[in-house]
Amino acid sequence: MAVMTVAPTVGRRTNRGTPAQWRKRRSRSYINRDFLDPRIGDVLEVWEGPPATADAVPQLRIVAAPMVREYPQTAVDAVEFIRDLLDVSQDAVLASVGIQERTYFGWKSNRASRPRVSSLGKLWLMVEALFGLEPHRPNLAAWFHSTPEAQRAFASGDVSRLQLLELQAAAVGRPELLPDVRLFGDPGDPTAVGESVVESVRPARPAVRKRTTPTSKVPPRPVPSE
Amino acid sequence: MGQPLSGPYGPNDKWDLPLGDLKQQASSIRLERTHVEAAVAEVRFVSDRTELDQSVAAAVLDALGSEAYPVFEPTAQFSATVEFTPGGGTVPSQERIDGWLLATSDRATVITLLPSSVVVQTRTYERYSVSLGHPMEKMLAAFTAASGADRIQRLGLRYVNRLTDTAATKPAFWHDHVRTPFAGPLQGELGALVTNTHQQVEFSLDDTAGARVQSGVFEDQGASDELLYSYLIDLDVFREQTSLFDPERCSNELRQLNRTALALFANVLTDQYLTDLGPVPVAPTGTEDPTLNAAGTKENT
Repeated sequence: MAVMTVAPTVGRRTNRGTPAQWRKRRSRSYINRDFLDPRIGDVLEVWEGPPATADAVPQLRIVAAPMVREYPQTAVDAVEFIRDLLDVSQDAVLASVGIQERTYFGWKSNRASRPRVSSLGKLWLMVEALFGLEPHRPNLAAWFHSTPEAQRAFASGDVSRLQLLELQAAAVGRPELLPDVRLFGDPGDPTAVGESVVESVRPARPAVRKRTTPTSKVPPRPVPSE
Repeated sequence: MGQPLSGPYGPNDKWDLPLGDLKQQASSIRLERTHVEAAVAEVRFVSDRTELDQSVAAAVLDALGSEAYPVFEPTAQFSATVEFTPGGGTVPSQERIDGWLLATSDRATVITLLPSSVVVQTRTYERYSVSLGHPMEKMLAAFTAASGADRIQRLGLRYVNRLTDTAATKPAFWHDHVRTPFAGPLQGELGALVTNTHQQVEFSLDDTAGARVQSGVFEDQGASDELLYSYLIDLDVFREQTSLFDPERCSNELRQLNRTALALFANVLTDQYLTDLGPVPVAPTGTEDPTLNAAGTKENT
């Protein structure tokens, strides 16, 4: 599907009035740069900015530029990133990803230190997941606080389930989009896979019988020595 | 492409004159050594819908012929909005407008249909009537009938012209080929130091019509991968006026914008360079295709 992206523009509200005689900036006639020679598309991008100017499209209420979050580069930034993105407390973040509060404040007081990998818990896994989810939600925090299942998944540090919830939302009415449950989480951990979530959406899959080895060829199973 | 709408064509055709009292150029200019990278005609309608029904796009496709436009696929336009509230908070939201895209098999000509606009864009421009005018007339008739859109908000034409010359190995090459008002620093004391330029000029042609001309030198690649400095002229002429859709008036106003774009183009380059580019006479007004006078084959606009 071809997609046109309309770049937001920055509008700043001020208390100063606008002289009536100032001419309102006219919008541009639309041009789809996807179908231009790449070099010309590059030149127009330099001249005009990203894909199209917002004023090229009628009916838009472009008020200000969206907040663009940068991917965190340090562990401290990562905690703050999650905190701000989901609008939760710092303590909640630390508990979710499994970082000791004392450890976190140690990082914070000495930013030059390099945290040990073993102390990071699921911090970067959670960052990676949320960073990927954010573009799909106009307000990720709003979604999070209105979705108890997401809150539970976050509280338990279940990154896979958080991602799965988003996939579920995108796949409403299209269960074929959902990945095989085995792709998520630890197949040995029924609480991490989110089977109950998936089963409620996906149609029942036909049972697949595994070929069994004739009984006569199965070696006797060792008896636990205990 | 069918017969054009009837109109007051001929020597006294007021629609065949450029807006803004611009000097009318020769009835047509065909320039053999320029390349129209994109020619675009856009008609915007008043609409508050966020989705264009497939049946509307299908009606337009039927009017144009599915053989010519085998590509028929959904398209979407996204926009982002963040409102800053008085309390310092932000309210982000996204808006999505769904439409349809029709295209030739090589996607050289693309038609974008949204609830509020009909756009035809081509990089195989022949002349106005063939490439933009007649297709737009057909599209508008089908679009308005199927969608119920009846109020026009804006008409626009846009031409992106790329001037390349094997002799343009330095930006200073354009010093003598661009008229002084558009040449800017190329003709100043710093001319020898210039590597890229970008000038944007907005014009008011009458109460509701305007134009924007973007032009400048940019680094380009020649046929043998050598570095050349080409000149881009991006013309955008438009009329922003809400009115009930009248096919004949709409067609004529677009023709008028085309004529205006042509006049603006001729104001960017020197007469000598226009001659060097190889203008070819085109049938005068009213003798053949009545809309041919608005643009000639491979003409600049």
